Amino acid sequence: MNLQTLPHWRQDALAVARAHPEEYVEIAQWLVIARQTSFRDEEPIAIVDLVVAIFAFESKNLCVLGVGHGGELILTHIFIKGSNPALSGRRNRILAAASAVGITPMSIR
Amino acid sequence: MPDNLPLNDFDAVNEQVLASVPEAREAWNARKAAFGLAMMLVRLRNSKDLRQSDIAERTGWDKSFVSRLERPTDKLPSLATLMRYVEACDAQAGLVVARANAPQVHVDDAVALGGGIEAEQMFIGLRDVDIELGEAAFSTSGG
Repeated sequence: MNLQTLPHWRQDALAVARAHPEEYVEIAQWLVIARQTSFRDEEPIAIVDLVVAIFAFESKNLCVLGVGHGGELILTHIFIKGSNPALSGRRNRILAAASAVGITPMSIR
Repeated sequence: MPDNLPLNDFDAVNEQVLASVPEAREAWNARKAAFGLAMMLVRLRNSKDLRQSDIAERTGWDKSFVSRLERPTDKLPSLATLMRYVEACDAQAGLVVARANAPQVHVDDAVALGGGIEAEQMFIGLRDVDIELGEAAFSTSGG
């Protein structure tokens, strides 16, 4: 997916910040740090830029973040707020959520 | 939100969001210390060309613990933990008390948190010192 086809993502960020300011900040600060560390450590790819894709899922308990790389949006990290007893199907649910908004996940960790 | 922002410029979008949502700005400021600390640890490790696994090996910590230290959370790490992390990066941790006196910063006091006599002397040498930063360092945006 070309990042240019995601004109709504910044509006999404604004909407998330209004609805869940603390969660937004948690994610945003994580992103700033992740830009320096996570991918450098774990995946030798050149980060073109970070783009946040936040999908509220399961009553706002789960957020998925992605990083833009080579015109693709790679889902990278999962935030789960609070306890969630049904994590076994997490990956499939995330895939379904991503698919529902037209994003093809290349990898999820 | 203006349409002329680059779509993939997270920093620009984040600034817009923080400017538009006071609650988000407030939450950002509330986590500023944890965020700054996490950023400092990451900067230090990167400057030494170390990986999280290197820190884990040098300290005996689990790598997941190192990863957690590098994330801003509500619970700040202890000074002892910070010292150990910093020393694993071949550096010394200390506390510096300073005040802005543009275009300088005046260091009122500084103390080593660990290390030997060399570390002590290093931080003593920072006491009552003016550091030239230039006016640009004192310009702020937002928060």
